[in-house]
Amino acid sequence: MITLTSSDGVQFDVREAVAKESQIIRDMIQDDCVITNIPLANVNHKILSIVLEYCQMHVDKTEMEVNASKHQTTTGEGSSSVPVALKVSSNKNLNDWDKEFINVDLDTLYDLILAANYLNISGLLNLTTQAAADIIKGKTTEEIRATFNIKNDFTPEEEAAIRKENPWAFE
Amino acid sequence: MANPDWACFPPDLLLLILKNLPSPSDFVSFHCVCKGWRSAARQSDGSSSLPLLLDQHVFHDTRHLHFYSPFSIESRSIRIPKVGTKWVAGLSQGYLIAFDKVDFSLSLFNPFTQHSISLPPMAIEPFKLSSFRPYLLQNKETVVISHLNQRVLKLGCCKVGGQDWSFVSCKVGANGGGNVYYQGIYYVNDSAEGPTMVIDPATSDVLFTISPPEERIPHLNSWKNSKGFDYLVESRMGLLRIFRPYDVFESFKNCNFDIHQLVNKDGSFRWVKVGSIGDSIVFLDKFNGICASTDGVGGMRGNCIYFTKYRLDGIYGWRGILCRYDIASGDTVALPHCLETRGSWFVPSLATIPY
Repeated sequence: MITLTSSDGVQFDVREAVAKESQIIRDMIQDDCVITNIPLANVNHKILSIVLEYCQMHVDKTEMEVNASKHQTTTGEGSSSVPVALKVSSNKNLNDWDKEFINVDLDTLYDLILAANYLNISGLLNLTTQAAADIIKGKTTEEIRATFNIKNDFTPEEEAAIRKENPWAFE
Repeated sequence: MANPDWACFPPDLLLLILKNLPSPSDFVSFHCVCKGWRSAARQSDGSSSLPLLLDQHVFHDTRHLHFYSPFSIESRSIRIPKVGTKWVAGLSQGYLIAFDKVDFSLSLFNPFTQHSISLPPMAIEPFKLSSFRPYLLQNKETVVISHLNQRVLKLGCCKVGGQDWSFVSCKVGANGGGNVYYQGIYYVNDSAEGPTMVIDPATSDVLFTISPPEERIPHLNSWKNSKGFDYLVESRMGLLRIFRPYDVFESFKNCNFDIHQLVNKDGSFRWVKVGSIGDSIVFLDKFNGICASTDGVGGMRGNCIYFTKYRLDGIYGWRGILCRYDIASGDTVALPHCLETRGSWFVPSLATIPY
């Protein structure tokens, strides 16, 4: 077990395999194998608990697949069709689970992208940046600004020039 | 973590988000949001973006360039600064070659940023412009323009910001063979059925030739054997040689493609037939081929070819149509967009050539 401490001092005890979904933690553990408590200065407890939920789920699914393939090798070639089907369905479930998991508000998504990047969890980083892109997709510039609560910080002259250059962004 | 401010989101992470926006219009909307997003988008090489089809003569409009994206099924236009200019698209990283019909000047022009760079003038017969192919080399310092006419391949080369063009030319076989500037070397097919000549663009020496592919799809009419559209396309799988036999009476439904991959085996190069291009998509216009990879972005389909062809369209005469050929099944569908010309593919980029 490893203890991860969030920026606001909340401790999470997790299995090593779960913590190792993060590349940065994996490196730390490799460098110093007696390490048991890792403070994470950039992630608060709310976000960390969401991140750990993701890691836990992905580790569980991977282990299930490994077990399934072990089952396949011990039971011989005759019954190989069963574990393959199991693997396919578990992949499909995981994608569905990811989709459900990433259905969060924009403030949370913002923090999740930063946390996934800081902890270097490539799967979560892909999932979160794709989710942000899906929100932007098909929107005009004005709609993006409204959705993400971004103030237009161009001067009126710059704005006019941009509108002239890129009329289709504002239609 | 403080109150999230998306305007100040880290640029490298904004770039990751932008990578998942393959549609050029999303790309443009993104970069108009605010200063932070704009500067992030400008760091992007635009390579994740898929090409747009540039239709140059829509209703003879001289004030706009018309682009069509087959992925978002949308047609958009961009205002252009100079009327009376001819535009040439090529493998030029977000820039078109603009040719002024009045003073014969040449320039590079990015329609999305309106950035333009003057090039030294070149004596061009304007009507031959359509067979020009510009390449902006990876280092973004050199422009190469190739022109194949009357069995002569002419290569013009100039440094961005330079004073002169330098030319080399060499004899090739019949017209119509695919050609491409790839990794510093020029590849040109002697003819659609002929060998590939590999040319050093600095000296115009033929370095070596590659035998033509052995396997060909059977033609509808064997006497028209050498007729067809022949392309050389740079892809993730290296160089591809793609051939579509042509028949005046063909409908888009019975289009067929031959795809060969350049393979180096024991020091000698060969064209080897391939039945799949993986998750890549090839875009073909009259002369050029561009290959892009979907990388599974946005659930897009790979292993297909988008191509344009002419179709007799009642009172309109010959109109261009855009089709998609599915390599695995061999099926072709026509996409619901009419073009006035056959169009040219153009990869938009907001990256500016640093000059």
